[in-house]
Amino acid sequence: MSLLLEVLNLRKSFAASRTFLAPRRYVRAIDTVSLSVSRGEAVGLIGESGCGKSTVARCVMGLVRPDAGEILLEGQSLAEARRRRSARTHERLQMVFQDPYSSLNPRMSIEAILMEPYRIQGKLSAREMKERILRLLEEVSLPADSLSKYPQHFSGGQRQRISIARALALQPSLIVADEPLSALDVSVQAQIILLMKKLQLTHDLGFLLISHDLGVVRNFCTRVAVMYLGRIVEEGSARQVLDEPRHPYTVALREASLPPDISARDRLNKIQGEIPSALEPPTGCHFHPRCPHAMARCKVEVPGWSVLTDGRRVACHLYPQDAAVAAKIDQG
Amino acid sequence: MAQQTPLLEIEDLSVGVRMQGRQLGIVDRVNLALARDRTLAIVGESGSGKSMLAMSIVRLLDEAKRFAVSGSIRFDGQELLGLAESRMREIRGRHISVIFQDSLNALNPVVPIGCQIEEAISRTGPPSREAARREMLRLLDEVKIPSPDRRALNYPHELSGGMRQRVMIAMALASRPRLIIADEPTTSLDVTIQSQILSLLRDVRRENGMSMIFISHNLGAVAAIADDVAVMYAGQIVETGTAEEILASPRHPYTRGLLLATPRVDRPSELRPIPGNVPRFDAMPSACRFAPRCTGVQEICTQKPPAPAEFRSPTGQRARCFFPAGERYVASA
Repeated sequence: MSLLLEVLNLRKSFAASRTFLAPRRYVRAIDTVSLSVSRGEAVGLIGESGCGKSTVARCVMGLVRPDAGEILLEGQSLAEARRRRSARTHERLQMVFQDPYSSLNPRMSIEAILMEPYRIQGKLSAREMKERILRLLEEVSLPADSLSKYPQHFSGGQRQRISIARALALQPSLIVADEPLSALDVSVQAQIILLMKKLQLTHDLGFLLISHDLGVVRNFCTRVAVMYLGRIVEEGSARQVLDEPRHPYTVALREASLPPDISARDRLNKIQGEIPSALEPPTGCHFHPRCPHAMARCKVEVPGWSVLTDGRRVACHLYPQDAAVAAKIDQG
Repeated sequence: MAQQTPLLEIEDLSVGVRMQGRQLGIVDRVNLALARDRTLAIVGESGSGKSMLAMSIVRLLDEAKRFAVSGSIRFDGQELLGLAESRMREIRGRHISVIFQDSLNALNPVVPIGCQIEEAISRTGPPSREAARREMLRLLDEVKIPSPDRRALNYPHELSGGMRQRVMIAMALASRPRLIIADEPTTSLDVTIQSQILSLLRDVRRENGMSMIFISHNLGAVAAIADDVAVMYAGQIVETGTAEEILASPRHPYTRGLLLATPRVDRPSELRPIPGNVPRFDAMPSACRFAPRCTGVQEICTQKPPAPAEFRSPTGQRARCFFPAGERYVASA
C-alpha cells in the first residue's frame, strides 16, 4: 500500500487567554505527533476531549498552521501546495464535520451545495455537473428529488449524507472526518458507518477518522492511534490496539467503553482522576498521575516508542524499548 | 417481603404541545411504575419524548402554557397532576431532585459552589449556618470531591465537567430526596469520567435508599446502572422489563435494532443499522409507529396500533408488538 498522508513530528501550541499582568502561557495542543494513512486505508485517531486529536485534523486541513513538522499528501508538502494555492491539492483532500446542522448553508439548496465544488473548479458544463450531482446523491442513497430541497428538510443522518456527498464531489483521495457520527442518533450512526465503508472500498478512499468512540472506530478503521494530552501513546491495527490494548491509557479507555449488556456493571470506575490541564501537563509520561502502574521513572522520563512483536508501537516504560527501532520510527 | 406500592406510578400520561395552532402529541399514553430502591432507565433516541416524560413528572416543562399534560402521576400515593404550584415546589425541593445534562447552565455562575449547596440544604429546613456548612462539606466528601473545604470556594467555571456533575449530585442529595431524576447526566462527559460519575450515582442511590429515573440514549450507561428499563420510540413506550431481559432478550424489534445498531468495540462484526429515520411528530404513522422501519413488518402492523402490552411474558416483560421476537417468524411461516 502506498502512503497517502504522512504527518511528521507535528507540533502546535496555542496562546492561552492571559490574566492581568501574568506572563502569557501556552497550551501545547500537539506535542510531536507522527502518523500516516495509506491509500484506501481508514485510520482512527482516538482520545478524550482536549487530547489534541481535532487539532491534528485541523492542521491536516490547513485550518490551523502548525508550529513545526511536516504534512505530506501523496508525497507533496501541503504547506508548500497551499503557498502555491494549488487547487489540485484541495481536490485531493476533503473534510466532513461533526455537526451536520451548522456545516451546511441553510440558504443553499442541496443542488447548490453539491454544485459549488464543481463551480469553483470550473471544468464541467452545466449538464455534466447535473449528471455528477445525481450520481453523488445515488451514492449516498438520497432520492433525486432532494436537489430542490434545503438542509432544514433533512434529518441529521440525511444531512451527514449530504456532507459526505459534497466531500466526494471532486473525487478526493483522503477524507478527514472529525466526529462525523457523534451528533447522530444510534440507529442512524450505523447507516453512516456502513456508507463510509462502502465509499472507502468503491473509491479506494483514505479516511482519517477523529473520534472518541471506540466502538465506531473498531467498526470502521483498520488502524488506530490513541492520543493523550498531545501525544500518541499507542498505535497499531484496530484489532491489536482495541481488542488487546497494551498502553495503560488505552486499557482504561477500553474498560470505560461500556458494552450494552450487564457486564457493563463490573466495569465502572476503573480509572481515577481526570485529564490534567494542557497548560501544566505532568512531567515525564503525561499519563503517570492516573496510571495504576506508574513507576518512579515515569514521573521524570518521557517514554519513547517500544515496538512490540505484533508490530504495534507503545509509548510506555512498561515495555522494553529497542532504541534503534524507536529512533527510526520517530524520523518517520 | 411485603408487596409495596411503587414510589412513582404513571398512568396514561400524555404530553402535547401547541405549535402553530395545532396540537402535537409528544408523549403518548405512557404507563410506568418505579419500584422503591431501584433505578429505572428510560432509553430512547432524540425526539423519543423521554426527557419530556421525565420533566412532566416534576412539572419542569418550559412555558407551561403551551404544554398540555394529561393522565395521572402518583408519587408515594399522592396525585401530582393538578397539585397547586406551591405544593409542587415543595415536592421538587424536598422529595424529588433533578440532575441535568448541562451542569454549567444548571449552576449559578457567580456564586461559589459551596454556597449553592448550602442554599439547597437550608431550603429544606432552617439548620444553623454552621450545621449547613458541615452538611455541605459532608456532601462534597460523599460525592468524592477532593479537599472539600478548598473546592467549596470555587466557582462553577473553575471546575471540570466531571467535578461540576459531582456538585450537581451533591445539590440533588442536599434535600435527602426519595427520587432522583437524572436526565442524560453523563452525555457530555468523556468516557473515563462517565464511568466515574455512573459509579458515583449508583453508590449514592444505594447508600441513601433512594429511587432513580435515569434518562439516556446510551445503552452502555443504561446497562451499567439500571435495574429496570423502559424503551421509548416516537413518544411511546415500546418495551419494558428488567435490564437483563431488555438487554439479553429484547422482544420489540426496535429494541433489538437499537442493540444491533450500537457500534460495539467488543463485537465489530454485528453492526446492523435500522433503516430509515425517526418519524416526525407531525407525521406519525397511525398504526404501529415503528412499522415503516421494521424488517419484520406484517399487514396488521400498518392497520391497527398494537396495545402497550400486546406481548407480556410470565416475568412481566412487555412489548408493544404483534410479532415479538421469537414468534414473528412462526407467524409469517
